[in-house]
Amino acid sequence: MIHRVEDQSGGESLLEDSSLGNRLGRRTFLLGSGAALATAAALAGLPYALRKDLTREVSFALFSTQQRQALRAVQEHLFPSEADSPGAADINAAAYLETAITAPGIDPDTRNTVVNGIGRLQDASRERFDVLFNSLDYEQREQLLRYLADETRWGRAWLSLLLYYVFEALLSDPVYGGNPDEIGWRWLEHQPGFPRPPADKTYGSL
Amino acid sequence: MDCDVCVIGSGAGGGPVALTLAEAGYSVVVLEKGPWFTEKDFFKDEIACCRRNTYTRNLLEEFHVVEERASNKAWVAKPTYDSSWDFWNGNMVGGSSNLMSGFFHRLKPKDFRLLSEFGAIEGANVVDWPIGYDDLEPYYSKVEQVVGISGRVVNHPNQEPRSTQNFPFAPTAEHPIASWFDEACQREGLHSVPVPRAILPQRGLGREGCQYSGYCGSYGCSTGAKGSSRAALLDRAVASGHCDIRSNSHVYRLDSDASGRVVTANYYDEGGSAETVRADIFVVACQAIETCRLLLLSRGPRHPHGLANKHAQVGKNLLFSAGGAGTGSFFYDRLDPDKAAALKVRGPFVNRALQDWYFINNDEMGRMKGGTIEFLFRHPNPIGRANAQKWGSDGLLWGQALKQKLKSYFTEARYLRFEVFCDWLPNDNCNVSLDENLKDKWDSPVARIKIGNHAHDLKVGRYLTRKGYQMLKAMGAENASWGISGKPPANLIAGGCRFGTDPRRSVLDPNCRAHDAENLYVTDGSFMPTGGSVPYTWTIYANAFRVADNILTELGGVRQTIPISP
Repeated sequence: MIHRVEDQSGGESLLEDSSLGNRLGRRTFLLGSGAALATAAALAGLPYALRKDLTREVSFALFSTQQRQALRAVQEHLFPSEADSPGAADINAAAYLETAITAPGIDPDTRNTVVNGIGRLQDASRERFDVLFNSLDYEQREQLLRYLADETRWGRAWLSLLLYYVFEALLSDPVYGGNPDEIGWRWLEHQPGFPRPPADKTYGSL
Repeated sequence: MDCDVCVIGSGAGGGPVALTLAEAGYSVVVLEKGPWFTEKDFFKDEIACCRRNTYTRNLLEEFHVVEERASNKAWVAKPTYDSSWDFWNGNMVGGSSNLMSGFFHRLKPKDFRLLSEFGAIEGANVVDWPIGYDDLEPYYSKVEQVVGISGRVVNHPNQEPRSTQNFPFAPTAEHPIASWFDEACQREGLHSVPVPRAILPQRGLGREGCQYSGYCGSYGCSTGAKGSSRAALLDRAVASGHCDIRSNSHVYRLDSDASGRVVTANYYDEGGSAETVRADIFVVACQAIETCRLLLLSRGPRHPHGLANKHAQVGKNLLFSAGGAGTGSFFYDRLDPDKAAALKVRGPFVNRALQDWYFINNDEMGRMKGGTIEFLFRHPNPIGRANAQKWGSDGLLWGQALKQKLKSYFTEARYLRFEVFCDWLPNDNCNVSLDENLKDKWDSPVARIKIGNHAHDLKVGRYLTRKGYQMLKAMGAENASWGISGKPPANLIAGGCRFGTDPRRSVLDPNCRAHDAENLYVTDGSFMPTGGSVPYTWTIYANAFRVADNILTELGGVRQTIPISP
């Protein structure tokens, strides 16, 4: 059962870990995102065929090298490698994200949000520091990301979305390409369920 | 005629009908919009199960419009592709019963006559049921045997009457924390209720027993131990040789003739081509929202406003489950090593509930209907649990702060939850209609779900949720928290085609046959005029078996067939 609950601080939270329900609402993590909200608002109310056309799958090389480097740097800042615990670099987070958001059936808004966010990040980086994100030092990166998370709605949604995919790379079955050698499960002493999914019975092949 | 009986929807409402009539020798066609997965397709894979829409529809293609009150009290409607709502609960052969946790409770006798027992509540459309507990009891018992329910009957003040002494299957293996719960109940003067489960503890009924992998709710069962409509009923129905299940078959309209009888089910098959099934009897069981939608979409010469909707009752009095939830932490380092080790055990079930306040009668609240408090461990899905840790009091967490929080959350404690189930009062602001603007990919108007709750539900929910919170504290939980909400869990749906004796105020007669379409039955949870304070599945199964027996009688009983020699 998914009970929607107003927590004691008055805000609404989705207590999603429960007996029956555990799906992440399709836009739960996108709410408040400028890009996704704008797209959603634009699409709402359109006839199905037109909406489908506007959101149709487009095939393109998803990230440029510069974008890929920026994404990797953000992930590694959000989830750094440490001596006693895996970070984004150790769990193939960058490759995982790219695979996940280009998989068939994934909401195109999610993909667009991720890609558009990189552009916005670079704009903000240039605006504040005159250089791209990868040229910033640690303190500048922290300062910029903190600003984006705390002061911009799109930034908060974008970083939250990137973190969500870091968690997938950390804790999904290794068959999906993250969590190599169960490094994430071992770190958090997580006991997986069984039977585990074989490669020909994963999401997308069922 | 293509078959004797056409069943639309293969979940807990459709399975009993298909099984009963197929085994009696009648030809049954089951039309199911989702795919046909078997035990061989179910793995403990959080991505496939719970993070992508493997078992549900793509919301860009098939969705609902949800109308709810905004904070300024105005009604606001939004399609579910633009919100966090998702009312698809499992589109596959066997329906959402594949994914249930299988907490099985019967209704109590008083649940069948809430109006007589507790009186009217202003703003709520409470009525008595046209049948009583005694009418359903034999079928509750039948479900125990046929679906396979494991449990242990104990004497407690709200134990409902039973025609058999105990459950046919012993309880599933129980986690050590169940005994902590029992001890706390003793200290507090409460009655620990062992929760019956639609899960086989060991091999039986031609199915394997539970493997106790620790992942049950939200997941399809890899052994067949879970009593889904597919594993328990439809596999048997197919084995009878009289049941044809057509998966990936989306029914979009039922056609009726000049006399009002339903003659044809129209559906799109897997390839998208329009097909039909003609039958003597049609049984609709698509889960309440989609059942109402299909009836409303199915206009005919005698049904200008939709099938069985002569008095505009289809879609009215939709029910969910009201209540709240809470969580408490048990830190390993506060326990002696033996207890800590016991707490870490994964796999066995908590299997405990409280029904001490199923009916309330005290100075604080007066005399009213209460509910059930169900206790369970927080779901082990790690991605979901990790994602819930990313917000700190000052916003989004990352870096070392996030990693330390994750490490601590995952390794230092176990989390016991409770969920409160209480009646969702039927009211004029909770219903299903057809949306006037938006259509799905099949070009059919989508269902518009208006979600209005009655203030009384929050009052009862708050009372019970506090009791759950106090129980966690009594067990020694730390950081206990609780919350209530007027927003429903999307997987507990009933009502919308209530049964009754008055055609002007109900859609179905007491046998769940449409008042004004003589060969149309509805056997999912739609028939319920009030919902009770437990999950619906056992009652849906039981009622569907009851209706199936009535259909069988109408058809002339078990068909004498000439055995075909091999």
